[in-house]
Amino acid sequence: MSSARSQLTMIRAHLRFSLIDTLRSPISLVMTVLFPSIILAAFSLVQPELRTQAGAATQATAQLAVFSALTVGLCAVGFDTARLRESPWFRYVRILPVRPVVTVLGLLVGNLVLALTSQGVLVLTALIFTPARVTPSHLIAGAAAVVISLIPFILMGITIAYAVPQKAAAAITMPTLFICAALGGLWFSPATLPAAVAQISRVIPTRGPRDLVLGAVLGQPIDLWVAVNIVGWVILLVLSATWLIRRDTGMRYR
Amino acid sequence: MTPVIQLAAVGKRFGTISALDGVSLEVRAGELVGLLGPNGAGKTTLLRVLEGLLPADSGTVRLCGEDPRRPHARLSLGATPQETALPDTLRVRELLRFVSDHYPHNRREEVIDSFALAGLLKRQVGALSGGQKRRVAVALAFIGAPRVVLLDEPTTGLDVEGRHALWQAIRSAHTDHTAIVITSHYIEEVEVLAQRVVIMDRGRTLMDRPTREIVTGRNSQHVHFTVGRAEEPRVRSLLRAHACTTTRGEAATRFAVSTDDPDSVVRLISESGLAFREISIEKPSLESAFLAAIRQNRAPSAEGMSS
Repeated sequence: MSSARSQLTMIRAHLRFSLIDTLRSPISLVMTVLFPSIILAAFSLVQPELRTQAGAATQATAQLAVFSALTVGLCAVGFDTARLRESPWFRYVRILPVRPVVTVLGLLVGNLVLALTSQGVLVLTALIFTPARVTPSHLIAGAAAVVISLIPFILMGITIAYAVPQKAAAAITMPTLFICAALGGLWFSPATLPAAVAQISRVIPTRGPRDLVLGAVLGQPIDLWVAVNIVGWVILLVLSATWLIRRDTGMRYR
Repeated sequence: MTPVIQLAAVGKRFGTISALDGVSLEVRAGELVGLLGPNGAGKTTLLRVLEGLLPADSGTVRLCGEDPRRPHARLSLGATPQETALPDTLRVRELLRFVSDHYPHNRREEVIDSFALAGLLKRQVGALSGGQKRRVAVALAFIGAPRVVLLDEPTTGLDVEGRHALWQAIRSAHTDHTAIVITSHYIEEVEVLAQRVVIMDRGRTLMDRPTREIVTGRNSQHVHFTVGRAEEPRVRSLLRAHACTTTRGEAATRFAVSTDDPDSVVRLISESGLAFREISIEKPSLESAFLAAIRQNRAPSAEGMSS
């Protein structure tokens, strides 16, 4: 009964559920998919070099790809996780004969599809409307780097969702998103940051992923501290998320 | 045959509140058990423990011999989400499929039939009426051909017609293979559906009996009828073996006869050629038994009754 086939049927059911649920909410879908491209368009209006210089445009696109991954991890996954904790529907799903990891997997894969679609739209927008250029092999390397950078971001979303109640999670997510985006160099190159801020930038959880993705897209070597930043944050976030999930189990009355 | 539900001395505390205080309960396949109790009696906690959502602090909980906290054990469990909890975006067909995909055997077609869902399959859940959502929610509990079905207030908020339709559907979905435990605010619902009633209060079971025995105590049924004043002495001599009370009007007297066997009383008065009218038989209600049990349980304590 717990054969691999029935496990696959369940995983497929949860994935389908997550995709249908996302696709049938058109406004949030369109916003999530188009948000990074809209920001790219807005930035091009105020930063003329994005309209004229290939290097600047490519870098801005790579940074916004990381920003897009950040919004998916913090907002989409974070919100879904908060729903998993508190919504009566997911309380019912926990009664079904399925391990919780399958439900989580369904939501993660659903969000991954969303994230990659959004990235695809961003890359197309950049290639068509800006001078940004990338070789196919660097594009693939960049996509892989974006998937890696999703790991700490998803863990951040889960940590916030388990740390505080749903309403507070929304209030904490927004400042976290903006601080991580600004200080991590996702909107403006860290080279333009004041010296003191540039130092802080290196310990921000978005800075490692940003340099990783940029390095992959431009085909440049990646510094050791980038790996330290990513691995360090992943370990820290895994520990905190595990502790918070354990704390949460059995706490509820109903 | 081993019981499909086995609870032995189950305790569960929330801080200083004892939600379950040594509850033992066994339910066998084919039984339909009504679980009654005032708010806060521990009914919902009992269901949460059986659903594997809450661990018990003490005692043992078994679902077909397994710990319900293991997903495999819950293959034999069916339960209902709250009506408001159904995901609005899915179509009914997709929702039924999502749930049935969790079980190796499913009764999707029979359930669509029993709960009259054929006309709703293409509708999005968000567009259904309250009654339709209820029907879908209760149907989900039966879809995996479970051995244990837990229905937590399945008809709350439905109009009379909707409630009766859902009772009918639950009866037709109930098989010898399945045990159903149903909690309800409507005592009538338990009286109509359940063969066995468990009454809980303050985390304990006060009464666990076949419904039939609760509603048929000694001399607990009453036959009422009206005769002209002039006939009263004749009726008294006819029924001298029974306890009677009378209410006198200007020209007529209404009798109330206490008996175990209302049929024989009716036979007696009708064979005597008496000109009686407005005859009725009143059975004791589960409601009066329920209220008496709760009152008795709370009598020694100084705390007020919550209504």
